[in-house]
Amino acid sequence: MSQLPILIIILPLLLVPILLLIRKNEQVYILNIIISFINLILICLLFHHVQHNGALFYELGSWKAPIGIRLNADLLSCYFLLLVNFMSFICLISGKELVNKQIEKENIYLFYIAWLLCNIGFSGIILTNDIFNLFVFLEISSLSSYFLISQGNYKGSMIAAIQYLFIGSIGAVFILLGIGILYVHTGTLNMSDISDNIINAKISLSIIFAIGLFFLGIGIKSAIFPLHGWLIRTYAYSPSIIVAYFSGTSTKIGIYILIRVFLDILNTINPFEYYSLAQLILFLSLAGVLFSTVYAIKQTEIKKMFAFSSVAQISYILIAIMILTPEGITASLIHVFNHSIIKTGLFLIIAILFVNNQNIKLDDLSGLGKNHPFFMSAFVILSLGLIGLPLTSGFISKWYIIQSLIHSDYWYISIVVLITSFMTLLYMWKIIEKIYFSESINNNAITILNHQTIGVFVLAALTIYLGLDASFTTSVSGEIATSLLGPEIK
Amino acid sequence: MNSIILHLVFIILGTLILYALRNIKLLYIIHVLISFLSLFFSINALVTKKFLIQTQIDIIQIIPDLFISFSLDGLGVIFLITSNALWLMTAIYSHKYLELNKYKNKAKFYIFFTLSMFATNAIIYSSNLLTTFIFYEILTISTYPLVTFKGDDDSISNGKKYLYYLLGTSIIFLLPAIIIIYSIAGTLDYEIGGILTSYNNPLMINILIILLIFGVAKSAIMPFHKWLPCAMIAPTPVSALLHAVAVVKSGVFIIIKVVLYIFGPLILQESGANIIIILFASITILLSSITAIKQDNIKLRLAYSTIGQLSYIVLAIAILAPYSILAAILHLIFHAIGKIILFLTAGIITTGIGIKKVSEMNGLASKFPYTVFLMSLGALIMIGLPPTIGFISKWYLIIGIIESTKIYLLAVIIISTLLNASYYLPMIYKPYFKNFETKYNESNSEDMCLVAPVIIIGLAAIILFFNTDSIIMFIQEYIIKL
Repeated sequence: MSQLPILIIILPLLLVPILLLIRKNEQVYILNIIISFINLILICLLFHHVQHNGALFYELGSWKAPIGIRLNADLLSCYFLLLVNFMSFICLISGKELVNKQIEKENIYLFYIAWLLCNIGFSGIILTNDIFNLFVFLEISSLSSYFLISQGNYKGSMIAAIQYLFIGSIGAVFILLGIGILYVHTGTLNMSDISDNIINAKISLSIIFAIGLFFLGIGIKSAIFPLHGWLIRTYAYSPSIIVAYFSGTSTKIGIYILIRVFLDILNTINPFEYYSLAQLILFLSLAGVLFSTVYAIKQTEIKKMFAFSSVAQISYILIAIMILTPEGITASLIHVFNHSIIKTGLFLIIAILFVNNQNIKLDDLSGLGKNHPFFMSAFVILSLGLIGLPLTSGFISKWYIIQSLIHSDYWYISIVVLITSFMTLLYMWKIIEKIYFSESINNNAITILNHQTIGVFVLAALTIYLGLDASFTTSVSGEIATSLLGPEIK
Repeated sequence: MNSIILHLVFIILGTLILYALRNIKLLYIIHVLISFLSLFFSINALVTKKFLIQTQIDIIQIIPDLFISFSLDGLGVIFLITSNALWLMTAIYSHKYLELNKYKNKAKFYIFFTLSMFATNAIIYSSNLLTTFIFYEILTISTYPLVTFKGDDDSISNGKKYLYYLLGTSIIFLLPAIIIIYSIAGTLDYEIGGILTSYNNPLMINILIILLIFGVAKSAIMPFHKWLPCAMIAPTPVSALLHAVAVVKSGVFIIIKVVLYIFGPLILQESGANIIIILFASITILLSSITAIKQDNIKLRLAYSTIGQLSYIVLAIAILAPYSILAAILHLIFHAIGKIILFLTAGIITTGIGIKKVSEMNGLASKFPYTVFLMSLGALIMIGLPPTIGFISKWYLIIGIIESTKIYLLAVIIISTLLNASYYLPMIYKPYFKNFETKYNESNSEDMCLVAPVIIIGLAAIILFFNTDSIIMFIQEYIIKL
């Protein structure tokens, strides 16, 4: 059991050179699926273990903590680990044809390897207990992301990849600087140690500067308004399957780092108190929700509409975090999970329908309801989930977010959340109307293979299941929130 | 298995059967059968007096400590039987109606019709506010395909308005109200006397009441009433059953439940929040009646009349006097019967001769004797003249007003009754006393298959007038002490 955290990282990592030697598209794909599946099982085991026996530490090479590198699998890690790897697995199953159609043949095996590496990076970020390793893993995932994005066969793909490279690097540099400053003040890179030492360190301006740098870096990574520009471009120009994969993972990793750094490592010095950072982020996110929802309504291009919608949803998550109550953290963690499932599902559907279209206009969806009634029903379910109607997981998130807002000092923000969630209806219904009421225009060419739909239907079913029985998300999120902020005081 | 679960599962199964058999020609028979058995379940609940035990069945825990749970009370039984009985009649009516008007895709109609009635029944059965909210939203979603049934541009844009109004208000007003109530009371169960009794903050109660009457937009209280005229684009059976009975009455039913079992009459009176409801309801009654006069389209006129009549019920409940609550419950039944007669007869006329406007109804009595007679009956119920049931509910409403010493409300009742008369009497006068305009094809006449179910409803209305005592006895025994 105690080996599980390292296995989750090392197994796929060992596979990478083997895959590089195999160089056959088909085999690489199958091995990739197998390793993802094994990883998923390992993560479930780890999750089960952690839930019952508490956090699991793994000392690399048996070197004790401050000197050696330590992996830390607590509930927060397991929650995100499960989410990221599950999304990767689902996208892999549904994505085979999409990759074959979209990626140049000689690059396919490299594409899968990059995907694997990217996922290793994500898993590493989540599991490591060493803040410098976090940066290393962040770079691993970023570098492979650049490759993945650049593989899109659209005109703007290269530019989008380069933009992502530049902006991502800037974000990484901010984080690296932050890490450096923290190291100067605490003399350690181990997260638990930093947490212990920083209480005794004098809170100087430079620590506050580090907090600011961290926030900027994470803000870029997780596309916090107004640092979201790259996300729109990336989502519009990446290979469609990668958009589905990233929509459920990469921004959520940003949220994870935010929670880990600010609410776990630095929690002892209340980093959000300086210069009322929490309020600043809160109102930025509020502006973000309004701005991006309005933009989503104005969009006629589906991918961009969903991208803006993602920015809005991330802002909801941030709003819930920034009220800094256990309830708020719970709500945000629930929404992280639910939104990943819903948005990945939506992007997956778009990807399956229009593999090679870069510009997917609203009109392209006309009449699909008649041609593919069963497949499009999944789209409706996921849309209802995004709007947050009852019996979908979106409703649970909304309930918790609004409840936490009403119980906090910022009850008036719930008004904005409610109104924007109604505005979600406006843009989602525009799409549904097109799908069901417009006459189809040469859509007959679209063929949907049965095994592609599995992933979509799994996600749609999960959306409904987590709306009917939210005990998994709510209890785990509640536990994490309690462990971060202490039990709720009423 | 519990009879409530059995009933709901049965309707869901019925929907699935309709879907499975969607290609057969005799689908309407299955639809009629489903509605008949559903009525049977409702009557069974009344006869076996299962609602007295008031057992609550928890289905699933959605949010920790909050369940989807069902139970049945006296108020529920009344609405249950009303809506299911009228569903059966509409089911019989709609087959011929859809055929004569050459609608395609009948299977879709029956499926979503059944689904809407499922949601309605689930609202009736729900035993806490969360369950009500869930099925309230499902009802909106499942009626949307019916409102946009014709599929032309008009119905799509009207359907959009319908959806935005109903979903929007429920998201923006109703949901936060429910969450606030849950935070205050720690529960959302309907309990006799209310669950907010120990909460002493008049301002908050007032805010909550405003959120609720705006949030439950299905009760069509102004300013969020526009969806109802929009919904009139749907085929007549939909307007008749859903937008005169099931959907709108669900809204009113929820308001009654919230007033009686969430807030409780006591706290509403103390905080003065009932005055707010009375204010909004009165304004709605007067404005909608004035608007109705201006409408020449029969269905739109009926729609605005519905808006006014719904506010009668809301007004009656907000007065909080025992007799006015009685009037509210009675009017819930009687308006449903009267309005469904009006809609169905209007549908017969439109189907038979293509007339959609009141001004074109001259001399129709010679062509449509039964239809016009039934329509007149419906109109009299709406005005509230004896010997129709509409008179009885108005009578008790007036008693309630006098009892509560809010005498000024009598003015609202009298003015609105006069207004009602002014737009309903032409619908009686023109067909009987004007000459038939020859520009219409003489060969068209009323279809007895369409008239028959309406006659049954009409007979029921007349019989009920002489048997109101039994209903009043029932209400007295199980819902409110007079």
